[in-house]
Amino acid sequence: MKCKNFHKKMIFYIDGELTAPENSVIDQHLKTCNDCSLLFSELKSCYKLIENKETLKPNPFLYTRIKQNIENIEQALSLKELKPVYMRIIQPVLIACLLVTGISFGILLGNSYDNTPQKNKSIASTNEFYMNDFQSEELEINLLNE
Amino acid sequence: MTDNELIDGILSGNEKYFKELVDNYQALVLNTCNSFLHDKSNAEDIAQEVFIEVYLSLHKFKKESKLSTWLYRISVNKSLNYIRDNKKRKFVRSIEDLFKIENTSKTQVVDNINQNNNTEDDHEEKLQLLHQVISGLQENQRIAFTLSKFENLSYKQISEIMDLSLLSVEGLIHRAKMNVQKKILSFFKKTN
Repeated sequence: MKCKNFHKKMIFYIDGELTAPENSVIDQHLKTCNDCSLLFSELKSCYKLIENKETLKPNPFLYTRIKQNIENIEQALSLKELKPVYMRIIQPVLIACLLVTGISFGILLGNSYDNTPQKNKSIASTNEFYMNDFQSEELEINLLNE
Repeated sequence: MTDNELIDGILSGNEKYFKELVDNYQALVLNTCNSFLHDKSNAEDIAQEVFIEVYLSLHKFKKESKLSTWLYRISVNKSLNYIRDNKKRKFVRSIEDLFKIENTSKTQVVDNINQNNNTEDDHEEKLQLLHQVISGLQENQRIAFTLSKFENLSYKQISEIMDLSLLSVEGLIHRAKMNVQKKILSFFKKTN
């Protein structure tokens, strides 16, 4: 048997999946080829560790934790069920109300604005009155003259 | 109590039956998750998720397959999803770090095997190498190989869990073994 052929069959030999004639050919090769024998023992030592797999013991609190998680999920789900009512009905109604209020407020403001032209004359005369009050204050003129 | 009685009891809203289902199957679920994750605390977390999923979707279970087959299927899917999510998280964290981890972990295993003469350490390093090799298998090969070698399930049971033909399962396990052998040998050839 060639080493290459032997390498292809090693793992199946370890698992005992070969026929009796194949097994005897491999046994023979292992006796004669030191390199293959070394490689085979390395592979076997590693691969056989699968058989030593530790079996875990379940945590005694596993059920309590599962129940707690289920309760949390059910609570979250019930809240989620309420959310679509808010999203589909209450939220659009609120937005529509706000829009209507805004528009009505705008219209009211617009109506309350007085469009008639203001009497600029009276303003001008008032300004003149204040601007020329220098003449009426004789005391100040006297002081300036002094 | 039969599985069908348990299912009917849970669906009728009796908590006692769900507790019994958890008690009956927690070892199966926990050890299946551990076969894929190789970590006790992660396996416990995923086992919890499996039972939550069972509780929430039991009404969808059609009783066409065995309850254990369904539980195996959920356990495998949840474990693989966890592994995928974990990989994504690592990838997002840093692509650079990911490459670093992969390279160092491979060389570290080889180096440690070379340096450690201690039998216990040697055993641990070889186990780490074996897990790494199995994790590197293609997903279907990995599922079939893990269920066969770690859970000692028959090809028929695996074919039911994976929803594949017996021939496909045989092919998957054969290819998985060839790949495992190839990868382990390449590690040892590097060290010698």
